[in-house]
Amino acid sequence: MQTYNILSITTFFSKKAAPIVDQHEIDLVKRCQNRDMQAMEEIVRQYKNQVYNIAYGMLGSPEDAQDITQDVFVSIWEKIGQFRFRSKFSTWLYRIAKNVSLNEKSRRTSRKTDVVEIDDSQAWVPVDYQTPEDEILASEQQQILHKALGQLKESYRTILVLREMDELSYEDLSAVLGCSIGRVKSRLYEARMQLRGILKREN
Amino acid sequence: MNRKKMQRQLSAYLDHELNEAEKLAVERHLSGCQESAKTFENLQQNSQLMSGLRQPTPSGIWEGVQSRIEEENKGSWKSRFTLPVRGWFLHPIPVVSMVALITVFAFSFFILDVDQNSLEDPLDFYLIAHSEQTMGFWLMGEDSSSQESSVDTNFTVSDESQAYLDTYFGY
Repeated sequence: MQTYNILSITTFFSKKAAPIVDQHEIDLVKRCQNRDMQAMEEIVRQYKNQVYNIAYGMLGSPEDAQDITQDVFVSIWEKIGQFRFRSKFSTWLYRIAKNVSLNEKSRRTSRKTDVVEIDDSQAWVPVDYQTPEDEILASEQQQILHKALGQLKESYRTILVLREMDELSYEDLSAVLGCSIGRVKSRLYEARMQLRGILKREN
Repeated sequence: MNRKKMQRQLSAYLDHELNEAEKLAVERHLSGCQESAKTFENLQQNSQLMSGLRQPTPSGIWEGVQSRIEEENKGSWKSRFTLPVRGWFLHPIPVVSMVALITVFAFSFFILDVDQNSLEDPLDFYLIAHSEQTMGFWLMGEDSSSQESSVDTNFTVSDESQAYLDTYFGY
Protein backbone atom coordinates (compact mmCIF):
# COMPACT_ATOMS: atom_id res chain seq x y z
CA MET A 1 0.00 0.00 0.00
CA GLN A 2 1.34 3.39 -0.97
CA THR A 3 1.88 5.88 1.82
CA TYR A 4 1.64 9.61 1.35
CA ASN A 5 3.82 12.11 3.11
CA ILE A 6 1.31 14.63 4.45
CA LEU A 7 3.96 17.30 4.83
CA SER A 8 5.00 17.12 1.19
CA ILE A 9 1.35 17.21 0.04
CA THR A 10 0.55 20.28 2.12
CA THR A 11 3.75 21.94 0.96
CA PHE A 12 2.80 21.18 -2.62
CA PHE A 13 -0.61 22.82 -2.24
CA SER A 14 0.48 25.76 -0.13
CA LYS A 15 3.45 26.86 -2.20
CA LYS A 16 3.33 28.45 -5.61
CA ALA A 17 5.65 27.19 -8.29
CA ALA A 18 9.18 28.37 -7.63
CA PRO A 19 10.16 31.22 -9.93
CA ILE A 20 12.89 30.57 -12.43
CA VAL A 21 15.76 32.84 -11.49
CA ASP A 22 19.34 32.91 -12.58
CA GLN A 23 22.14 32.69 -10.06
CA HIS A 24 23.82 35.85 -11.30
CA GLU A 25 20.67 37.84 -10.58
CA ILE A 26 20.41 36.34 -7.08
CA ASP A 27 24.05 37.23 -6.36
CA LEU A 28 23.52 40.73 -7.69
CA VAL A 29 20.48 41.31 -5.50
CA LYS A 30 22.22 39.85 -2.42
CA ARG A 31 25.21 42.12 -2.95
CA CYS A 32 22.83 45.02 -3.31
CA GLN A 33 21.11 44.02 -0.06
CA ASN A 34 24.56 44.27 1.55
CA ARG A 35 24.70 47.88 0.29
CA ASP A 36 27.15 47.22 -2.54
CA MET A 37 27.00 50.26 -4.83
CA GLN A 38 28.71 48.44 -7.72
CA ALA A 39 25.94 45.83 -7.71
CA MET A 40 23.37 48.61 -7.71
CA GLU A 41 25.12 50.21 -10.67
CA GLU A 42 24.89 46.90 -12.53
CA ILE A 43 21.16 46.65 -11.77
CA VAL A 44 20.60 50.20 -13.04
CA ARG A 45 22.52 49.50 -16.25
CA GLN A 46 20.63 46.26 -16.79
CA TYR A 47 17.10 47.59 -16.25
CA LYS A 48 17.22 51.34 -16.97
CA ASN A 49 15.80 51.00 -20.51
CA GLN A 50 12.79 48.98 -19.36
CA VAL A 51 12.05 51.27 -16.42
CA TYR A 52 12.49 54.38 -18.56
CA ASN A 53 10.08 53.05 -21.20
CA ILE A 54 7.44 52.20 -18.61
CA ALA A 55 7.67 55.72 -17.19
CA TYR A 56 7.69 57.29 -20.65
CA GLY A 57 4.71 55.23 -21.80
CA MET A 58 2.73 56.17 -18.70
CA LEU A 59 3.62 59.85 -18.48
CA GLY A 60 4.41 60.77 -22.07
CA SER A 61 7.25 63.12 -21.26
CA PRO A 62 10.98 62.30 -21.58
CA GLU A 63 11.95 64.66 -18.75
CA ASP A 64 9.40 63.19 -16.36
CA ALA A 65 10.36 59.68 -17.45
CA GLN A 66 13.99 60.42 -16.57
CA ASP A 67 13.02 61.68 -13.09
CA ILE A 68 10.70 58.71 -12.51
CA THR A 69 13.42 56.27 -13.61
CA GLN A 70 15.73 57.73 -10.98
CA ASP A 71 12.93 57.63 -8.37
CA VAL A 72 12.33 53.96 -9.15
CA PHE A 73 15.97 52.99 -8.67
CA VAL A 74 16.33 55.03 -5.48
CA SER A 75 13.18 53.30 -4.20
CA ILE A 76 14.67 49.91 -5.14
CA TRP A 77 17.85 50.76 -3.23
CA GLU A 78 15.77 51.65 -0.18
CA LYS A 79 13.46 48.63 -0.35
CA ILE A 80 15.77 45.91 -1.64
CA GLY A 81 16.12 44.53 1.89
CA GLN A 82 12.43 43.60 1.72
CA PHE A 83 12.91 41.47 -1.42
CA ARG A 84 12.58 37.81 -0.34
CA PHE A 85 13.23 36.03 -3.66
CA ARG A 86 9.63 34.79 -3.84
CA SER A 87 9.34 36.14 -7.38
CA LYS A 88 11.69 37.11 -10.13
CA PHE A 89 13.62 40.26 -9.30
CA SER A 90 12.53 41.79 -12.62
CA THR A 91 8.85 41.23 -11.71
CA TRP A 92 9.38 43.05 -8.41
CA LEU A 93 11.22 45.85 -10.18
CA TYR A 94 8.52 46.26 -12.86
CA ARG A 95 5.87 46.39 -10.15
CA ILE A 96 7.72 49.22 -8.40
CA ALA A 97 8.24 51.01 -11.72
CA LYS A 98 4.53 50.69 -12.52
CA ASN A 99 3.45 51.90 -9.08
CA VAL A 100 5.84 54.86 -8.97
CA SER A 101 4.74 55.93 -12.47
CA LEU A 102 1.04 55.58 -11.62
CA ASN A 103 1.49 57.50 -8.35
CA GLU A 104 3.23 60.30 -10.17
CA LYS A 105 0.53 60.35 -12.81
CA SER A 106 -2.31 60.50 -10.28
CA ARG A 107 -0.41 63.19 -8.33
CA ARG A 108 -0.25 65.26 -11.49
CA THR A 109 -3.86 64.55 -12.38
CA SER A 110 -4.92 65.78 -8.95
CA ARG A 111 -3.03 69.00 -9.69
CA LYS A 112 -5.09 69.14 -12.88
CA THR A 113 -2.23 69.08 -15.32
CA ASP A 114 -2.58 66.85 -18.32
CA VAL A 115 0.78 65.11 -18.49
CA VAL A 116 0.00 63.17 -21.63
CA GLU A 117 -0.38 66.35 -23.62
CA ILE A 118 2.70 66.67 -25.76
CA ASP A 119 4.31 70.03 -26.34
CA ASP A 120 7.12 71.00 -28.69
CA SER A 121 9.82 70.64 -26.07
CA GLN A 122 8.91 66.98 -25.69
CA ALA A 123 9.41 66.19 -29.37
CA TRP A 124 11.39 63.02 -29.68
CA VAL A 125 13.75 62.63 -32.60
CA PRO A 126 14.16 58.98 -33.51
CA VAL A 127 17.54 57.92 -34.76
CA ASP A 128 16.90 55.74 -37.77
CA TYR A 129 14.52 57.53 -40.13
CA GLN A 130 15.50 57.81 -43.78
CA THR A 131 14.23 61.30 -44.60
CA PRO A 132 13.14 64.39 -42.64
CA GLU A 133 9.57 63.74 -43.89
CA ASP A 134 9.60 60.27 -42.34
CA GLU A 135 10.86 61.81 -39.15
CA ILE A 136 8.03 64.36 -39.02
CA LEU A 137 5.43 61.73 -39.83
CA ALA A 138 6.72 59.41 -37.14
CA SER A 139 6.79 62.22 -34.61
CA GLU A 140 3.18 63.16 -35.46
CA GLN A 141 2.07 59.56 -35.17
CA GLN A 142 3.71 59.29 -31.80
CA GLN A 143 1.99 62.42 -30.58
CA ILE A 144 -1.37 61.02 -31.65
CA LEU A 145 -0.55 57.71 -30.02
CA HIS A 146 0.44 59.36 -26.75
CA LYS A 147 -2.78 61.34 -26.76
CA ALA A 148 -4.75 58.17 -27.41
CA LEU A 149 -2.92 56.35 -24.60
CA GLY A 150 -3.82 59.20 -22.29
CA GLN A 151 -7.50 58.61 -23.02
CA LEU A 152 -7.34 54.93 -22.13
CA LYS A 153 -8.42 53.51 -18.80
CA GLU A 154 -5.45 53.29 -16.41
CA SER A 155 -5.42 49.49 -16.34
CA TYR A 156 -5.51 49.34 -20.15
CA ARG A 157 -2.71 51.85 -20.54
CA THR A 158 -0.58 49.98 -17.99
CA ILE A 159 -0.95 46.61 -19.64
CA LEU A 160 -0.33 48.02 -23.13
CA VAL A 161 2.82 49.85 -22.05
CA LEU A 162 4.19 46.80 -20.26
CA ARG A 163 3.45 44.53 -23.22
CA GLU A 164 4.29 46.70 -26.21
CA MET A 165 7.15 48.77 -24.86
CA ASP A 166 8.80 46.30 -22.51
CA GLU A 167 7.67 43.10 -24.27
CA LEU A 168 6.68 41.34 -21.06
CA SER A 169 5.34 37.81 -21.57
CA TYR A 170 1.79 36.99 -20.42
CA GLU A 171 3.26 35.11 -17.46
CA ASP A 172 5.31 38.14 -16.40
CA LEU A 173 2.33 40.42 -16.95
CA SER A 174 0.19 38.24 -14.71
CA ALA A 175 2.89 38.39 -11.99
CA VAL A 176 3.38 42.16 -12.26
CA LEU A 177 -0.33 42.98 -12.40
CA GLY A 178 -1.38 40.30 -9.91
CA CYS A 179 -4.02 38.63 -12.08
CA SER A 180 -4.48 35.38 -13.99
CA ILE A 181 -3.09 34.77 -17.47
CA GLY A 182 -6.67 34.51 -18.74
CA ARG A 183 -7.38 37.97 -17.36
CA VAL A 184 -4.19 39.30 -18.97
CA LYS A 185 -5.33 37.90 -22.30
CA SER A 186 -8.78 39.45 -22.17
CA ARG A 187 -7.57 42.79 -20.74
CA LEU A 188 -4.96 43.12 -23.49
CA TYR A 189 -7.58 42.40 -26.12
CA GLU A 190 -9.95 45.00 -24.65
CA ALA A 191 -7.13 47.56 -24.34
CA ARG A 192 -6.06 47.05 -27.94
CA MET A 193 -9.60 47.31 -29.22
CA GLN A 194 -10.21 50.49 -27.26
CA LEU A 195 -6.96 52.01 -28.52
CA ARG A 196 -7.95 51.04 -32.04
CA GLY A 197 -11.28 52.80 -31.61
CA ILE A 198 -9.67 56.01 -30.29
CA LEU A 199 -7.06 56.07 -33.05
CA LYS A 200 -9.79 55.58 -35.66
CA ARG A 201 -11.68 58.56 -34.28
CA GLU A 202 -8.49 60.68 -34.14
CA ASN A 203 -7.67 59.91 -37.77
CA MET B 1 -16.03 28.92 -32.59
CA ASN B 2 -17.95 32.05 -33.58
CA ARG B 3 -16.39 35.23 -34.93
CA LYS B 4 -16.60 37.19 -31.66
CA LYS B 5 -14.85 34.47 -29.72
CA MET B 6 -12.25 34.14 -32.45
CA GLN B 7 -11.60 37.88 -32.47
CA ARG B 8 -10.81 37.74 -28.77
CA GLN B 9 -7.99 35.34 -29.65
CA LEU B 10 -6.44 37.75 -32.13
CA SER B 11 -4.56 39.70 -29.50
CA ALA B 12 -2.97 36.57 -28.04
CA TYR B 13 -2.23 35.33 -31.57
CA LEU B 14 -0.42 38.60 -32.25
CA ASP B 15 1.70 38.04 -29.14
CA HIS B 16 2.46 34.38 -30.00
CA GLU B 17 0.79 33.29 -26.77
CA LEU B 18 -1.51 30.62 -28.20
CA ASN B 19 -0.91 26.90 -28.28
CA GLU B 20 -0.60 25.07 -31.61
CA ALA B 21 -4.28 24.06 -31.84
CA GLU B 22 -5.53 27.58 -31.02
CA LYS B 23 -3.04 29.09 -33.45
CA LEU B 24 -4.25 26.84 -36.28
CA ALA B 25 -7.88 27.67 -35.51
CA VAL B 26 -7.18 31.41 -35.64
CA GLU B 27 -5.24 31.12 -38.89
CA ARG B 28 -8.05 29.10 -40.46
CA HIS B 29 -10.56 31.73 -39.34
CA LEU B 30 -8.45 34.63 -40.63
CA SER B 31 -8.19 33.10 -44.07
CA GLY B 32 -11.98 32.90 -44.31
CA CYS B 33 -13.14 36.10 -42.54
CA GLN B 34 -12.27 39.47 -44.09
CA GLU B 35 -13.47 41.51 -41.12
CA SER B 36 -11.34 39.59 -38.65
CA ALA B 37 -8.38 39.82 -41.01
CA LYS B 38 -8.79 43.60 -41.15
CA THR B 39 -9.05 43.83 -37.36
CA PHE B 40 -5.90 41.76 -37.03
CA GLU B 41 -4.06 43.98 -39.49
CA ASN B 42 -5.11 47.02 -37.46
CA LEU B 43 -3.96 45.48 -34.20
CA GLN B 44 -0.65 44.63 -35.79
CA GLN B 45 -0.15 48.21 -37.04
CA ASN B 46 -0.98 49.72 -33.65
CA SER B 47 1.36 47.29 -31.97
CA GLN B 48 4.17 48.38 -34.28
CA LEU B 49 3.33 52.01 -33.61
CA MET B 50 3.55 51.44 -29.89
CA SER B 51 6.86 49.63 -30.21
CA GLY B 52 8.04 52.75 -32.03
CA LEU B 53 7.45 54.75 -28.87
CA ARG B 54 10.43 53.03 -27.28
CA GLN B 55 13.30 55.38 -27.10
CA PRO B 56 16.91 55.32 -26.02
CA THR B 57 17.37 56.04 -22.35
CA PRO B 58 19.10 59.36 -21.75
CA SER B 59 22.58 59.25 -20.30
CA GLY B 60 23.28 60.09 -16.68
CA ILE B 61 20.60 57.89 -15.07
CA TRP B 62 23.10 56.03 -12.89
CA GLU B 63 24.96 59.23 -11.97
CA GLY B 64 21.66 60.78 -10.85
CA VAL B 65 20.70 57.71 -8.84
CA GLN B 66 24.16 57.52 -7.27
CA SER B 67 24.16 61.13 -6.13
CA ARG B 68 20.67 60.77 -4.66
CA ILE B 69 21.64 57.59 -2.79
CA GLU B 70 24.75 59.30 -1.42
CA GLU B 71 22.69 62.31 -0.34
CA GLU B 72 20.22 60.06 1.45
CA ASN B 73 23.04 58.14 3.12
CA LYS B 74 24.42 61.42 4.47
CA GLY B 75 20.95 62.28 5.69
CA SER B 76 20.62 58.96 7.48
CA TRP B 77 23.97 59.50 9.30
CA LYS B 78 22.75 62.90 10.43
CA SER B 79 19.47 61.42 11.62
CA ARG B 80 21.32 58.93 13.80
CA PHE B 81 22.70 61.78 15.86
CA THR B 82 19.56 63.87 16.09
CA LEU B 83 16.44 63.21 18.12
CA PRO B 84 13.54 62.14 15.94
CA VAL B 85 11.30 64.89 17.33
CA ARG B 86 9.40 65.19 14.06
CA GLY B 87 8.56 61.50 14.27
CA TRP B 88 7.10 61.92 17.75
CA PHE B 89 4.58 64.42 16.50
CA LEU B 90 3.66 62.10 13.68
CA HIS B 91 2.57 59.44 16.20
CA PRO B 92 0.73 61.33 18.99
CA ILE B 93 -1.34 58.41 20.33
CA PRO B 94 1.56 56.09 21.29
CA VAL B 95 3.58 59.04 22.62
CA VAL B 96 0.72 60.33 24.83
CA SER B 97 -0.02 56.82 26.12
CA MET B 98 3.65 56.28 26.94
CA VAL B 99 3.86 59.58 28.85
CA ALA B 100 0.65 58.72 30.76
CA LEU B 101 2.02 55.29 31.63
CA ILE B 102 5.29 56.73 32.92
CA THR B 103 3.40 59.33 35.01
CA VAL B 104 1.13 56.70 36.58
CA PHE B 105 4.11 54.46 37.29
CA ALA B 106 6.10 57.27 38.93
CA PHE B 107 3.09 58.41 40.97
CA SER B 108 2.40 54.88 42.22
CA PHE B 109 6.03 54.65 43.40
CA PHE B 110 5.62 57.87 45.33
CA ILE B 111 2.43 56.63 47.02
CA LEU B 112 4.02 53.28 47.98
CA ASP B 113 7.03 55.10 49.39
CA VAL B 114 4.83 57.31 51.62
CA ASP B 115 2.90 54.29 52.89
CA GLN B 116 6.07 52.44 53.77
CA ASN B 117 7.34 55.42 55.78
CA SER B 118 4.05 55.72 57.63
CA LEU B 119 4.30 52.04 58.62
CA GLU B 120 7.92 52.27 59.75
CA ASP B 121 7.64 55.54 61.65
CA PRO B 122 5.89 54.30 64.86
CA LEU B 123 8.24 51.35 65.09
CA ASP B 124 11.36 53.52 64.86
CA PHE B 125 9.88 55.94 67.35
CA TYR B 126 9.08 53.13 69.77
CA LEU B 127 12.59 51.65 69.60
CA ILE B 128 14.29 55.03 70.08
CA ALA B 129 12.01 55.89 73.00
CA HIS B 130 12.62 52.51 74.61
CA SER B 131 16.41 52.73 74.33
CA GLU B 132 16.39 56.26 75.78
CA GLN B 133 14.33 55.11 78.75
CA THR B 134 16.63 52.12 79.41
CA MET B 135 19.74 54.33 79.23
CA GLY B 136 18.06 56.72 81.73
CA PHE B 137 17.71 53.88 84.29
CA TRP B 138 21.39 52.98 84.05
CA LEU B 139 22.75 56.52 84.26
CA MET B 140 20.60 57.88 87.10
CA GLY B 141 20.35 54.84 89.37
CA GLU B 142 17.23 53.57 91.10
CA ASP B 143 16.16 57.03 92.37
CA SER B 144 15.69 58.30 88.94
CA SER B 145 12.93 55.75 88.36
CA SER B 146 10.66 57.95 90.42
CA GLN B 147 11.41 60.87 88.15
CA GLU B 148 9.25 61.46 85.19
CA SER B 149 10.67 60.29 81.91
CA SER B 150 11.08 62.97 79.29
CA VAL B 151 9.83 60.48 76.71
CA ASP B 152 6.19 59.76 76.50
CA THR B 153 5.83 56.08 75.71
CA ASN B 154 2.10 56.01 76.07
CA PHE B 155 1.42 55.85 72.41
CA THR B 156 -0.42 53.10 70.63
CA VAL B 157 1.41 50.73 68.35
CA SER B 158 -0.54 49.20 65.53
CA ASP B 159 -1.21 45.45 65.55
CA GLU B 160 1.03 45.02 62.59
CA SER B 161 3.98 46.75 64.24
CA GLN B 162 3.42 44.83 67.47
CA ALA B 163 3.49 41.53 65.62
CA TYR B 164 6.73 42.60 63.98
CA LEU B 165 8.27 43.48 67.35
CA ASP B 166 7.12 40.22 68.96
CA THR B 167 8.57 38.16 66.16
CA TYR B 168 11.98 39.78 65.80
CA PHE B 169 12.81 41.39 69.13
CA GLY B 170 10.73 39.50 71.67
CA TYR B 171 9.14 42.66 73.11
